[in-house]
Amino acid sequence: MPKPSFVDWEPTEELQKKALEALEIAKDTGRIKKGINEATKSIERGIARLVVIAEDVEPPEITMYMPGLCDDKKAPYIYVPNKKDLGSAAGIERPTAAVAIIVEGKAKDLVDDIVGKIAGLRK
Amino acid sequence: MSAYKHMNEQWIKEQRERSDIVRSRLIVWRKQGTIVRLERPTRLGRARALGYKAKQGYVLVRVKTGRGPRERPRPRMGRKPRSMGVSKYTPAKSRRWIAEERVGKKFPNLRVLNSYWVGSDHRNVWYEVILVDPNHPVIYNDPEINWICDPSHKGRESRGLTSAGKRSRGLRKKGRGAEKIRPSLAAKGNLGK
Repeated sequence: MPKPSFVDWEPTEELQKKALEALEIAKDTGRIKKGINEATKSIERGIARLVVIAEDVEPPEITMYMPGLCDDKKAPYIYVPNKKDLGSAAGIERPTAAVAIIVEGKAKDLVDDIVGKIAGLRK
Repeated sequence: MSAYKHMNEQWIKEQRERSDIVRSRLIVWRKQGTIVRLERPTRLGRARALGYKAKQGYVLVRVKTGRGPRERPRPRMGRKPRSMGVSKYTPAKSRRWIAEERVGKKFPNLRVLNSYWVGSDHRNVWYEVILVDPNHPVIYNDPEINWICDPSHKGRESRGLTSAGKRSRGLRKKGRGAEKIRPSLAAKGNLGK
């Protein structure tokens, strides 16, 4: 599947897997915000540590503003290919467009690692 | 700012630029029928602002209408020259209102709640219409929307009670200049418009 035009940098597959893994750990031991509305609010309040966004959201305008907003508020973000996987990683039965980790819990090292690698990739 | 406001801004920005997303969408819509039932709204923020909820009993429909003034049927029998006219007659209803009426006719068991613009090209305009099923238990048990189950809301779209209808009837105007609009245009001899 070709990447949508608004994905301006491509994360590696390994990194995407790591992000979902971090999400699952943070879901049990920390705190996450599920869904695009909650994720947006946490970015605006500056409490989002890592934002995970799904690529296959239809219509694409729903998530298109997220990268710009994340850059404004200096929140690291990463795209994952599937909204269904994102939903199951966040512990809900439905697909979801975006999830934000606000307290990492035991996934602190993993999230720091991902954030560092994202910064490296985007340079 | 909630996510929906960001979505609306993004949507309008894409429309202004007439980006690839917008154009590729219209390519698909042009080939579809006039009235298409949808799973999810194309403008989530706008639909929610107008009362849409992702729950049972809500139906979304995209409807295509033409653009430009209405052409009247040509008179078959003799007329005075002044009433022979065919073109250059603008309907007193907006295209949005006409679109709502067509959808209401197609889904007679549902009530039209509201509608919004989703796109246009040089010959068509598309609107999405939000419909509500008054006989659905989820709807008539929901105190926020069950006002629409009252029989007085039958045929809202045909009587100009939706937002598009009220606007076309001039009811957004108040005070000076709006003397011939209330209680209805017909009550003031159709001089208001």
